[in-house]
Amino acid sequence: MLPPKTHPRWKALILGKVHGPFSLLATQFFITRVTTRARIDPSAPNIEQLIDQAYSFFSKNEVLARNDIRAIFEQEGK
Amino acid sequence: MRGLLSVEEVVARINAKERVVVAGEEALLRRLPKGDWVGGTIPYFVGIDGGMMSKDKLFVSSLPSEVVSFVTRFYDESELGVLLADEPQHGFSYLIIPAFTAFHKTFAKTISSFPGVYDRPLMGWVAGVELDKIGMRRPKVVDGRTGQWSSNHGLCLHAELRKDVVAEIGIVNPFAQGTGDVITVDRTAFHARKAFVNGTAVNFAEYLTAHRLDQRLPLVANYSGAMINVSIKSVDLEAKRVDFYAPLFPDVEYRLAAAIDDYEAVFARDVAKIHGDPTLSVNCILNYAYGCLKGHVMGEFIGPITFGEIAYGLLNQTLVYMILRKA
Repeated sequence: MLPPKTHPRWKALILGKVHGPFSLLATQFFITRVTTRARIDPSAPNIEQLIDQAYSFFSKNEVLARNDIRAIFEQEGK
Repeated sequence: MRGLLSVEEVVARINAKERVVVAGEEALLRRLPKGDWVGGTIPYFVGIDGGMMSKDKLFVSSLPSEVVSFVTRFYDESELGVLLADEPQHGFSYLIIPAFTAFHKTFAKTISSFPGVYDRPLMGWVAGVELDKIGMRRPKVVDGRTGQWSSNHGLCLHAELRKDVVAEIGIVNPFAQGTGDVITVDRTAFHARKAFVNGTAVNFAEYLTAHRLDQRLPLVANYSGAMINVSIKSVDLEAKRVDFYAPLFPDVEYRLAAAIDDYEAVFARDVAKIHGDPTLSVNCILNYAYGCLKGHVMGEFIGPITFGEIAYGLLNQTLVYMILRKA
């Protein structure tokens, strides 16, 4: 079960503040894309949209990306 | 089952209703009957004895029983969004693209900008021809269900999987970023005249020549831990232009790859880290042309040697594989 989109780690992920390591190739491509887009356009609506995309991506890849999801949410506070 | 077979052996499998993906010379593919198969042209393969060229064998990969069903469809370069929308909810998509086409270029330059491109597994390869026939023959793809051929369209097999398995797409790239200059560009293209080296604009052809950099080494970008290559096709000092086998993208930082002394040892090390047997696997023609694959045994990672590998996007000098894992 993924944490809700309001969880602060989603925003940290989009802003490039979560550094993995990530193991699934799809995750590695996806995170590079959303963090690049957030860097180009850091406006609040864009960040919201990118969080939606991240939630959707990990929902569809919850099985294969389980280690990456753990890496994102278990780094909290580090 | 994956391996090199004679035409007669492939015909027997197709006639026995086996579902297969096939790679080989066009003349051989044209001898196959209609059935549950898709194919693309290429005469180079990694077999159980290593990299080789064959004009009398086809490389066949059977679709396993976990594939519940599949559909096939041709797409032109304006239909990449449709291709992604056609991906199964639970399965994978296997795309074969004829090299040097508008579809090839458009796919490479734009697929990463489509929403949802990384949501579902997409792998495949770029069909080619014998290296000394480039420009004389056209790479092609063929849908065995209809017998339809194309030298312009991408052909995609969308496979629905049983619910208890999922498809993982992975890569093995023996190259990593070196410690040299950071190279960037300001537009997406398969070629570059101007590039930025550590932020300073240079002519890239002059830069590569002046620094005597080994052009067999790709430029490598670090995508959140995944090393992604862009291989150098040619350096034209007169035209002051460098051409590549995949596009460079703005907002991505590249470095020339670190040199590799023993490709086979590096490859063996990286392959050993992968758990599971691949269902599908492809490798790159440049690794073959540069002598890294000829006769070298690649374990379970056998398949066609291609003019480009597809793992969500177009890759160079990389092995791409798909492994089915328990859900």
